[in-house]
Amino acid sequence: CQNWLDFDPTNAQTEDTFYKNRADAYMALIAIYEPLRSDYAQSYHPLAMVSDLLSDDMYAGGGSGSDMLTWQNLSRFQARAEEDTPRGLWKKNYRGISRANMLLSKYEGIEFNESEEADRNNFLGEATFLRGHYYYELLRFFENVPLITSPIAGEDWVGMTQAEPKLVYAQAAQDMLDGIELMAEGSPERGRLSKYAAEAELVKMFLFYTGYYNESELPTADGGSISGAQALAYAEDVINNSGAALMDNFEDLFNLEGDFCKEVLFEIPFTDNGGGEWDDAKMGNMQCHMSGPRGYNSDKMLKSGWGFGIPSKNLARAYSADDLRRKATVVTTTELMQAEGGGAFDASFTNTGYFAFKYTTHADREPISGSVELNWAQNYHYIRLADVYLLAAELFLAQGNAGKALEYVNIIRQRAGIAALPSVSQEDILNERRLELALEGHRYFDLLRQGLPYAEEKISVHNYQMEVYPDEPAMGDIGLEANYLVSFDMSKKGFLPIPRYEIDLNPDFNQNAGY
Amino acid sequence: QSLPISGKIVAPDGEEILGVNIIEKGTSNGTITDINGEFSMQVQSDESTILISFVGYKSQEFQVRNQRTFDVVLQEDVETLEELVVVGYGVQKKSVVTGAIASIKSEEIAQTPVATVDQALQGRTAGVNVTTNSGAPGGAISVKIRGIGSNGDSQPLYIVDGMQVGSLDFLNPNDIASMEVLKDAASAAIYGSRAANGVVLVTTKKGSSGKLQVSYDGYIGVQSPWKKVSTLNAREYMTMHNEAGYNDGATSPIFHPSSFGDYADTNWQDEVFRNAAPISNHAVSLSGGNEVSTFAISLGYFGQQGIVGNADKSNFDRITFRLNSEHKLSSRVTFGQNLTIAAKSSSGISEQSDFGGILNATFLHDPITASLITNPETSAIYDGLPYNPVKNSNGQYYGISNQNLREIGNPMAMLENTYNAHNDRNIIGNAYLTVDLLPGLKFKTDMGLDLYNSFGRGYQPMQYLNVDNMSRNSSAWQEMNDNVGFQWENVISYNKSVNGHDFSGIVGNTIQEYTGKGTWGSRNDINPNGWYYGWLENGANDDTQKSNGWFWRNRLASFFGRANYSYKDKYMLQATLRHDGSSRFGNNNKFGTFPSVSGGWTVSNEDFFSNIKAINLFKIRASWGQVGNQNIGDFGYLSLANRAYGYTVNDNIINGIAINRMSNPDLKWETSEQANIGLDFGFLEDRIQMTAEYYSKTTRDLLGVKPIPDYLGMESPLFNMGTVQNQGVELNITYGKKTGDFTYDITGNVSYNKNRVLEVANQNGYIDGGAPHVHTGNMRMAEGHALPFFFGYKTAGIFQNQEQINNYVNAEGKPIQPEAKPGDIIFVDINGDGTISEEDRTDIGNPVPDWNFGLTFNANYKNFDFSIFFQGAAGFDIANVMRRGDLDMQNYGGAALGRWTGEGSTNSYPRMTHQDPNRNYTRLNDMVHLERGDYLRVKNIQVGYTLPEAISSKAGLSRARIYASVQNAFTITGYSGYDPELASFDIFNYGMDRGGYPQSRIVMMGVNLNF
Repeated sequence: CQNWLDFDPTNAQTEDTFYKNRADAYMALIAIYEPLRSDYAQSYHPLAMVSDLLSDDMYAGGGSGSDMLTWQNLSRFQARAEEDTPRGLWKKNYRGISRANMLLSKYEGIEFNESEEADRNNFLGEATFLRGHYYYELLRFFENVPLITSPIAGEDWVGMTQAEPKLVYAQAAQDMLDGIELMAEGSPERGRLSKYAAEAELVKMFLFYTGYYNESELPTADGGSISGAQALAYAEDVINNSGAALMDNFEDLFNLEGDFCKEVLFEIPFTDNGGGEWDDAKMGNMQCHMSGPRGYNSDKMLKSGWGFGIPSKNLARAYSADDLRRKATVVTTTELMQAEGGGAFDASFTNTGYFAFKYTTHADREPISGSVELNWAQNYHYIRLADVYLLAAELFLAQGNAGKALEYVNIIRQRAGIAALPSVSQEDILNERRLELALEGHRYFDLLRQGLPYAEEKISVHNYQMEVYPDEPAMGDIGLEANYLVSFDMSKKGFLPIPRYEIDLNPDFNQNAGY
Repeated sequence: QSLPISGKIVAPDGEEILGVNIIEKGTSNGTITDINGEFSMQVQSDESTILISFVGYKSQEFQVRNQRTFDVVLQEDVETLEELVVVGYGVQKKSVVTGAIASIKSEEIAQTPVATVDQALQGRTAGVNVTTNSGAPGGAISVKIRGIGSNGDSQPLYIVDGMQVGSLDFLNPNDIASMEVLKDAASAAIYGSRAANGVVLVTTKKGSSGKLQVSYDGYIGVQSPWKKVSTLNAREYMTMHNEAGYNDGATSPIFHPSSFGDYADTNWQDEVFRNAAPISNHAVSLSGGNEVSTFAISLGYFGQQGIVGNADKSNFDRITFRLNSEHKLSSRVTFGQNLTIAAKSSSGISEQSDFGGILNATFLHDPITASLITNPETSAIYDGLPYNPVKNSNGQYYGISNQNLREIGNPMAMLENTYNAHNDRNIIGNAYLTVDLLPGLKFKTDMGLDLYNSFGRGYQPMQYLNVDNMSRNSSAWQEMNDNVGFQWENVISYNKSVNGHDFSGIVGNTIQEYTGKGTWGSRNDINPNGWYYGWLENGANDDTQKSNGWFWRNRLASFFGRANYSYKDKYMLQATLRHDGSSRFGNNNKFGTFPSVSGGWTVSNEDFFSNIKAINLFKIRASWGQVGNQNIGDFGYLSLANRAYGYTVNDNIINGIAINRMSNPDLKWETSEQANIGLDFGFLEDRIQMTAEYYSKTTRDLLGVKPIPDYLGMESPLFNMGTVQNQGVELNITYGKKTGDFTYDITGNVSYNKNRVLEVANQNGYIDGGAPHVHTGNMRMAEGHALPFFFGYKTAGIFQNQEQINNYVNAEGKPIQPEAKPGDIIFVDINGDGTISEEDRTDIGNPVPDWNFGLTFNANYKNFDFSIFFQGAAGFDIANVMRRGDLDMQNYGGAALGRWTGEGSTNSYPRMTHQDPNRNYTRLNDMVHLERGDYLRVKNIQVGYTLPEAISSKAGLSRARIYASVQNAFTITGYSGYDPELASFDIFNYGMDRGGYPQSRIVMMGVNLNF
């Protein structure tokens, strides 16, 4: 009767039968990529939007002050540990790390044919790099996280503590360096990453780490470190050798021309042929539907969305009149109403008279499949060449090469159709980064790395000048002034709370300061 | 052939007996007695012999000779009159039962018209808590025997005529001969690893030899909601929201009082509920046979429409056919079979959901939106909206709220566009062969099949409900399932009586296999459009098609045995043992053994007791046993490498493969150990009968999902998560009396169960369950508390003024609730740290009733009969979470009218606010969320009249009864939601009321006809 009772599942393999050959390694690798696009692991947490909510560029918006309460709290630095968004960000990154750890631990035993040598290196490189990427995302949102680099079985996690942030940065840097050695020169397939994506992110992490912690070098797990000059060399390698080039027209980055365009180094793909799953199985970019104006419907411009992520007036008015980037970044309510087929829409909570226009419900992308909300197929350009130009400019400036810094900033300004600067300061570069990369998820971390007082000064809104249009309320600010006020809480050091769920299960974990 | 005879058959006490068989021997000629015990028939000649027989009495034969009138007093057959109780793999005389077994007979089941058989258990016996999960037609029934013993699936094991089945909804209640509930472990242990939550044995009616018996039972009725929930009307709604706005700092009203009259005033419950939804039941049965073969055939139809929406939105129909027969192949070999075919169809609406459940929307939707648009100007505006604003069948638009209600659409529009249909078919049957090997030694082999097929489909038209809630494409889905259960059992039984010593025993084995296969698919852009065309082949857009399919299998192999000994019905002993192997567990724990012992002493059978005349029965029973529960998914012990969510590579979605769950090779069944002590009394010649039970049940190694940190990046493994104890007492009392033409009896039962978690075997000693959206506070399982309990905030009244807030300070003199304003809730600082935080959550109640009770009163006077049946539960709480925490302009329940409006106004309901800085409404608390669930319900009242035989016989009937009945006639409860009778199969959502389908009040008329 033992035989009668012994049989294997038909819908799964086990840890012992999987991880055998190239096909297995490939499937395992794709599973490591998957959390990159995760924005619904615990309620909604699209990476760019959550980052920008924290910055001076965006208000939470939505239908009312209690709509996505988590975000309303987050944007006022009143996040609570038991809320969804921090847990979602935490969870999806560790999902990637766990899968990477498993594949890396099995890698020795996987058989590749001679003809599969390139794949053998690339897969390993990508898996290693992605682990570094996921750690970097955890570090910049949470700072104090456990460092796990091999699979954990059974109860072995009990007693786990958070690691010294420096150690985790060193591991992330090491993973990126190791990945760079093994990854392909070009993207092996649309959706997979080349070594230049890894180099670009390493440069970003270098600047965040050295800026926020006021260090000159980024440590690596092998005991070494990366200097500013080395970081600059990686940036230059990306600029000169990656093959990436700036798009001629800025607006093409965010219309149908934008997906997998030549400017993007680190692209996170979304598709419009998923189903109607109201969870992380959905395949579209959640940020798009969340951004769209509520109740708006123009076939030439935008479709209706949920009205979250309202750009601040402060951002919208930072563009000079001739800056080509303004129209591609934010749309005014006047433009919405005057658009062909446009007209009325519902104001959002913390309405400002502006809506985001980069990642949103562009009418020409309206999905035909599954649930519309879940299937907007606009790729997220996590790192594009303009970002690297400006990072390189900062590094040049820090190295004392102001001329090269100015050259790079002016390359960016030229495309934007605005006058070249005669000289450049760190503040100029930061300002250029804001205008160029607004609503792409970078601003908050650019502010944080200037130090907490700097971030406090930029982010906090202690007085707000209401602009009210009684005849057309949706053109301006609505409701109470108090809704627009923000107090950046320095005691929280700019980080989110460690999710309560993790604290509850790990008595040795420390909650982040200020929570 | 022309010799008329007649007569009257009575019992020893002189009572006329209905339905006694009178057969002319050697012919097929026969009749039965009528309600007055009288019969008349024609026999062939003086030489004929008539045979008079009736169950429970000795048969008698008379040669006719010259006698024409036969007035016969039947003699009780002590051997067969003894009440029999069905036990696992056999029957026992009630007098020798040593476990805790409740028996419900067909008369009780027939008394309250029910859709499914498990409902008939409600209120009938102590220790069995039956709760309707949903009042929707065909809604699931939750049965809990002796408390919640498991945090997983705590439904009992259902065995119908020896076959294990998943639920009882395929049965025609008219087919049931009896139901036995095996409550204690000693009685259930013969079912081993599946019996931890108790066992319900269902026995269907069999034929008996004699004249063909034909009967028809049927009723028709109408249903209406027994209650409507109090909500704000338009004026109240606008006033409350204005007040909230002002409280939040607004300087002008949201709705100007001068404009109040411009708005509609819609009571959504009046819109969605119907007041005369039909229900009907028809059952025809035939039974009979001869010395060789007996049979019972029945055909049944049950149909119920829902009280929410029109007939096609929620309904349940069932057609059942049953054939049971038994045949003596030789003097030693008997062959028999049972077969049921059931076809069910149903449609349903979304309920218990705070994201667009229709009943929740009915509660939450603002009353100031018109249900239907009559104004042409508004209709013209709707014409310009994208997709399709919803219209009714007359082409009128349903109103669309301007109040930013997001997921909450016009409930009537949501109902209009609810389209789904489900069809299930069960074919369940078994065939058996019994061989008498030697005197007392029998062998039985029994093979059964349970075939289940289901088909479901749904259709969603393109729709526009509001700016946040629209379907831009029409779509359809279809799903099919094909499940097969197979079991084969072999049992050898032995009986021997020597000088008052009775020995009996069984040994047997069984193998079982359950497999399931299914497919699902969907497509968009249905063309032509509409429910009629809502099939996948009409999906015009191939790019949108999706599909899935699955297969599962599990198996069980077992050996079991039971030994019984009794001496002169005075001393009884019983022992059982079962050894189970299950494919659900890994090699470390594939097999388990489940023992039990029990004993009884019938004190009243002792010689020294014979002087005590008032007490005719006094019996003491005691038992101990262990049973298991293996109700978890398959392969729960393995770590599985399977499909991950997709990632887009080269424009194709690729589902990678990952280890998605941790393994647990030590996973094993949960084990429930139970001791039971029972007392049976009979007083005054059994006019009063009483049974009392005490039990203590400890369930160890509870099966559950272990919470693991998110940083492990995997789903939680299944594990054995702790220990829960249920202790309780049960009492059943029956009193019956007959005075002349008037007889009556009263049966009451009450049970008390205390539930406590003794251990939670994970790292932090608790496990958290469901929480209402954006609320802090949830269901929890933790040591020393009931399973589950509400983990939330304790309140201590309302801050009446600012001074009180300022004075509510901690040790450092800082305010404990600095965000509070007058009118906000005072939360208790449970942990005393000087602030109110998540750490101040505590046990504020539990959702499982401590007390369950039922009371039935039956009375007969001449041809009239009357019965009333009460049922209720007490000692539990319900979290009324229909109110949303994140929807500013929702409607509120009537309780909001009692809100705080100024110093001294109230101390029991907080002020109106949208911003809610004190989180009065999103901290789960005992002021605004928790309510007592106690209720007492008049479940059924029935009045019947049996037609005089003189009238019924003219219509060719031997008996005709008509009756009228009201179900759910009255309910006494303080609970403000739709229905206090609320349960969930998922214990971590038990007691959270998000707006369920309420039960209906049913007024019906019926007939019972015997031909």
